[in-house]
Amino acid sequence: MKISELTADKREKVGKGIARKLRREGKIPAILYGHKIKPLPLSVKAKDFYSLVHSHEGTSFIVKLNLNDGETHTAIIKEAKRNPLRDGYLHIDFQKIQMDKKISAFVPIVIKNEEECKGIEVGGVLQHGIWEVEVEALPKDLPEHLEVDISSLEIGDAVRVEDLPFPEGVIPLSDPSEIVLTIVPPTVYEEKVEEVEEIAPEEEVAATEAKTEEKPTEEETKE
Amino acid sequence: MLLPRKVKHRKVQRGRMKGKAKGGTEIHFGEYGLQALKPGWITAHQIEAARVSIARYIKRGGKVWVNIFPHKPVTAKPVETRMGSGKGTTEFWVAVVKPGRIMFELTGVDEKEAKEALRLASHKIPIECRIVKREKVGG
Repeated sequence: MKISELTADKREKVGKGIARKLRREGKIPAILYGHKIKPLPLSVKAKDFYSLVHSHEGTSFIVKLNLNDGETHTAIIKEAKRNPLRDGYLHIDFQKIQMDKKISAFVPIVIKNEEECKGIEVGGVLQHGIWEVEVEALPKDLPEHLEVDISSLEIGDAVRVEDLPFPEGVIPLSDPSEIVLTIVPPTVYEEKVEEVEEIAPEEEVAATEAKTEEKPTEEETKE
Repeated sequence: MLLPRKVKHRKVQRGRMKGKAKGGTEIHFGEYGLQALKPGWITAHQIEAARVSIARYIKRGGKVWVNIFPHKPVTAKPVETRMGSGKGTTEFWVAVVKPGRIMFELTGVDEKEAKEALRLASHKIPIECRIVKREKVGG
């Protein structure tokens, strides 16, 4: 996995007032913690963080944090809290890592040959059970993504965690029997036709005739 | 039409819809979702109408998830009735939706089709909505 660089500033003040001020200035409040360091409040330029995130397809990747006082830390993004109503990030958690110690991270699953999949060709629908797999590995061994070839899958077939091609040194932490994806039969939406109870035609006719006989016509009443 | 099989209380008070949705703000099952931007009551009829509009547009293929359920009974008194004599009878059921809530999810179709299907569904919902795509960072 390649290591990306990100510039961050240390911040001395903490709290929601400072955090809001930073967001107004186009920065994202962040924190760095883990491996024998005291939690360190930081701020990151929102623009830099967006470009970093969009250059990776994974969810957790290694970042080299260059602080404004010259310090450098290697970390992974543990959590990025988003505003559910807007596209902005509210806060980022960086976890400091050591390159010689194993870490756990979520690796995304990338699907290959979706167009050539036998099941999809006959109308099946690709349904994800999970989108990422939790793995344990040394930071240098951590893959950016795991590729799954689904060209041979037919309707009803499934790929489980144990079927994924894990590189050497990468141990899956997710349940091996957990379904990653499956090809399900297409859902056919049938239009419901409301059934109206039919009255026996003879009875209906008899009833209408009786009514007309009872009621005198307009002409009769005029006369 | 969706409605609860069994309820603890047949009639409930109207309640308030303060703040944003506490959960259900991320896409969990599909690739695309319809997110509420305003608070509101979504009736069982509206949920069904939106679901049908998505299903009709995508025809065969694709899969739809409805993430909201009308748990709340709404009562009304008959017309031209004098006030008093207790609370009215349950007329319909609603789902209380707050801003940020993902109401519908969709997968198995391309982006263009998904957006059009969700746009059609959004016209059946009485609140402002937006179409969102799966995205996650961190973990």
